[in-house]
Order: sequence, then structure tokens, then C-alpha cells
Amino acid sequence: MSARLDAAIVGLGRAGLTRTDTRAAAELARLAVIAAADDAGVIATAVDGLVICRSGGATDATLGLDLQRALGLRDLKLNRIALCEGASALAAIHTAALAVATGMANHVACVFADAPITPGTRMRTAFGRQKTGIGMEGLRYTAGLFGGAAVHALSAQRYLALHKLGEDVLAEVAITTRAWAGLNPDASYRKHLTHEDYWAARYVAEPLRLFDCAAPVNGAIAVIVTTRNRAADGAQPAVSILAYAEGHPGAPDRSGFDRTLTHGGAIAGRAMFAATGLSPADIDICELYDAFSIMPLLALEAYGFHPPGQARDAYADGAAQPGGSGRPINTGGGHLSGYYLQGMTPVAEAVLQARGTAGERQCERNATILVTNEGGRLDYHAGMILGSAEQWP
Amino acid sequence: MTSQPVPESDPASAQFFAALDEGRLDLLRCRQCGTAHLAALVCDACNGTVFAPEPASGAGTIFSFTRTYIAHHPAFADRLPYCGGIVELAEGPRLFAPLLGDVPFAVGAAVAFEPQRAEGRGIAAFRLATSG
Ligand SMILES: [Zn+2]
Repeated sequence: MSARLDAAIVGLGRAGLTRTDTRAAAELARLAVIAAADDAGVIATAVDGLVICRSGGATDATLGLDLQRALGLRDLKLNRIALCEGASALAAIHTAALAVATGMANHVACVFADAPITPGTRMRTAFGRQKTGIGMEGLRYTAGLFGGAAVHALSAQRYLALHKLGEDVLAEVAITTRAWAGLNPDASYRKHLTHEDYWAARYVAEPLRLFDCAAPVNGAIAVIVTTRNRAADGAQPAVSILAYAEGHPGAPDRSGFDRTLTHGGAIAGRAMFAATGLSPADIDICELYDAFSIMPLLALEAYGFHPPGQARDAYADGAAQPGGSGRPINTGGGHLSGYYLQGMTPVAEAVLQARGTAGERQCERNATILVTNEGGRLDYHAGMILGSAEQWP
Repeated sequence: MTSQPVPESDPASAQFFAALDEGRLDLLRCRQCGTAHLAALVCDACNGTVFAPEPASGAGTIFSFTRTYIAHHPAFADRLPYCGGIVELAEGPRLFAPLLGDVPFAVGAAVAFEPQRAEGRGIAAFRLATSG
């Protein structure tokens, strides 16, 4: 076990989160930071550090370091961009935690914003813009593999083939996630999803169907990180950061390795469980990056919740659904039915669950919550274990 | 009609794309450990930096694939749905490649290299290997 960073999440702010919002990413980011400071009970000008999450996938590149000026913040002691593709949110929060723990700054805001949907954008092409690419990786476009769905379909196809599983494994993920979304007023898709609905939906990229892919929105999420002492005086119950680790496998593209299924959660999980003395059995809730339904299955196996090929057991008979017999997974509806704001989606839900303020979908046991972030095609991974400050002061 | 996109080469892949533009599928064999690569400046198996080009057999298997129903690029609009995937060459390296033919593909199925051209550039496509 190793010493925990003196840091906690004390504020959560949201802006937009709909498909119809027309504001630019930078404006959504500004509003989310103000909302997060307000939620934390501090005036916005008390924010003395900013970490902006950036991903190659996010479409509006105008969100930059000048967010400081838009917010009217003077004398910042930290202002930087965290760039780790879909893993940027947890990376940003970790940067903020290091900054407050070392006294570099007192209240650090971490924000992600994206506005992929403009009037006239067809939903299904929001993230699949034309590219040519450079070098061997660019051959994906020659092969017609545009957008995240196509490359994650390759992981899903191989996973199902290797373990001799059917597409129903993916259906259970989508259906479970939708059941939670039904209890979340912020979720994009809340209508009950039946098996019939799932099978009737068209393929986007086999074996991924419409309901296996994230729900894009225009929006922003920000959190405020401060020290545990300051957090104790906050307007909201503090959320403790119990552990953070990254895992980037770098699997070569040749025989003997498997870049489509090798998941950095194996590296990050080992590190976080060793640091905390916790094991998978001690995790109460999983908030897993689920831009595509295959992703939580791979994460559950990488973290050691299930042996390879058996993560479907987590979802069997509605085990991970509200009121289910197993561990709750993606309790806000995730990316699939909630909203796709990359790594911040699972963070926001984990904060609400750890506080005990998740409303109708609040889970009874919320002491330890695993949050995962994925970037690239399973190339970059970050994990964090959050906990209610009541139980982890 | 728009051609499908072909990447620009980078230093590691310069040899691969130059050969492909002439219709050949070439490997770079590490002189030190014998590992076959398609593009490399340094061998990730042994840190060797000397490679000998050699023609690939053109035989491979489907490592994974997907049939796509949406054209994100005009070149694919008139061939929906189409298949693309990752091919593992018999010599070991893998690459993204178009999979030709309106046939059912499967992970592990044997495929063979079929050179194609688009606006003067070479494309490494694959088709199911004919048995026997
Ligand atoms: Zn070598």
C-alpha cells in the first residue's frame, strides 16, 4: 500500500449535454467551470488552476489555454492541456490532484467540452470525418475504417470469435446501460430498450449495431479538485481520490501480440489494487468508458473482475441493472445511452454516486467506485478509484 | 469517382509504400533477429536497425474484420456495405486492408494479397484464398 494523494473532488459542473445545443465548445467549457465552482461553494475567481482535457477525437479545437481569459481568471498557478485522447479526463484530474497535493494550486478546475453536432450534421457521421492519414496507421482509411466504431468493431469481432460468443453478449451491455439511463434525467436515450429493439437496429460496423455506439452530444463537464482539508468544508460531500494509474500496452502489430484486445486496465488495475490494498471484489460500482459496448467487457476482464471471455457474467440476468444481483455498471447510462463526453462521462456519474446524490439511480453501496478512460483503439488507458469521503476521509 | 484514400509514407513506411506503388508487397526482415516488419526504423524485438527488404508471400489470415454500412468517404459510397479489417501475413506482420468480394469473412480465414491501384498509388487489398 502507498500513501494517498491529499486531493478530493469537490465540485461538478455541467453545460449543454444535448444534441440540439448550438453553443461552441469553448463557451460550454466556460459555463461548466462556473457551474463546478458554484457547486463546490467557491467563487469562480478562487479557481487558481486550469487543466483542459483535449482529444484528437474532439472536434472543436478552439478550446485552449485562453479559457482563462474567458473566465476572467487572474494569476493562475497552473494552466495546461492534458492530451491523452479518451483518457484525458482522468489524466487531467490526476494532474490537478498532484498540483493541490504539492501546494502548487488550491482549487484546480478540469474541463472537457465538445460540440460535434452542428445543424445539418448527420448524427452517424459526427465523429467519422474524412481523413487520409500517414504511415501504416493511415491504412485504416484505405481499408474504409473511419471513425471509432469501425476500429472497435475489429476488437468486438475478434473477441466474439476468440471466445466463441454471439452478439447477444453486446446486446446485454446495451440493454443494461439503457436501464440505468431510464433513471437519469440527463441521459439522451431513456426509453426502455427491448431485445427486439436491439436486434431490429441496423449495423453501424459489424458486429456493432446502433445501440452499441455512443450517443454524441454538445456539452461540457468540469470538476474542481482541492485538498482533503479544504474539501471537508465544501458545499457538497467530498469525493476522495483513492488511486490513479495509467496503462498503455503498446502491443506491436504482428503475430504473438493482440492490439485489438490487449487492454491497459491490466496494468492500471494491478497498480491501483496494490496501492490501495483493494481487490476487484471490494469495488462497489463500475463506471466504465463505454463509447462502444465491447469496451466495458474488455475493461472488466483486464481489471480481473472476470476471466477472459467471461465478462458477460457481469450482465447475466440483469445482474448489473438497477436492483440487479451483481455489481452496478455505468449507472448513469454511460456513453451508450447517456451522453458521450469522453472520459468525463464516467467521472461525473462516479462523483454523484460517491456523494449519494444520484437520485432514483443512487446505489446503496458507494464506498469504492472504479472509473475507466480509454483512448485511441485501446492504446491509452487511465483508471481511478473514487470513494465517498465519509468512508475514506 | 473519388479514389479511396492512400496514406502518405513516413520514414518507417517509405520502403513499404514505394514497393506497394510498384505493385509489390514487401517486408523488412531484421538482420539481427529475423523478425519480419512492414515498416520499421528500429526493430521492437531486438533494437536492431539494419533491415533487408524481401517480397512477402502474399498469404495471410484475417485477424479481424468488419462489414461497414456507412460511407464516411465518397470512395466507398457506391460499394456499401464493404469489408475492411486487419490481415496477419504468414510472415507475422499485420496491416489494415480492404477485403474484396461479397462473401462471408471469418476471423482466421486464409486470404491472399491482391494489388490494386488508386490515382497512381498502390493498395494492398486481400481476397479469400481459393482452397485446393
Ligand atoms: Zn530484430
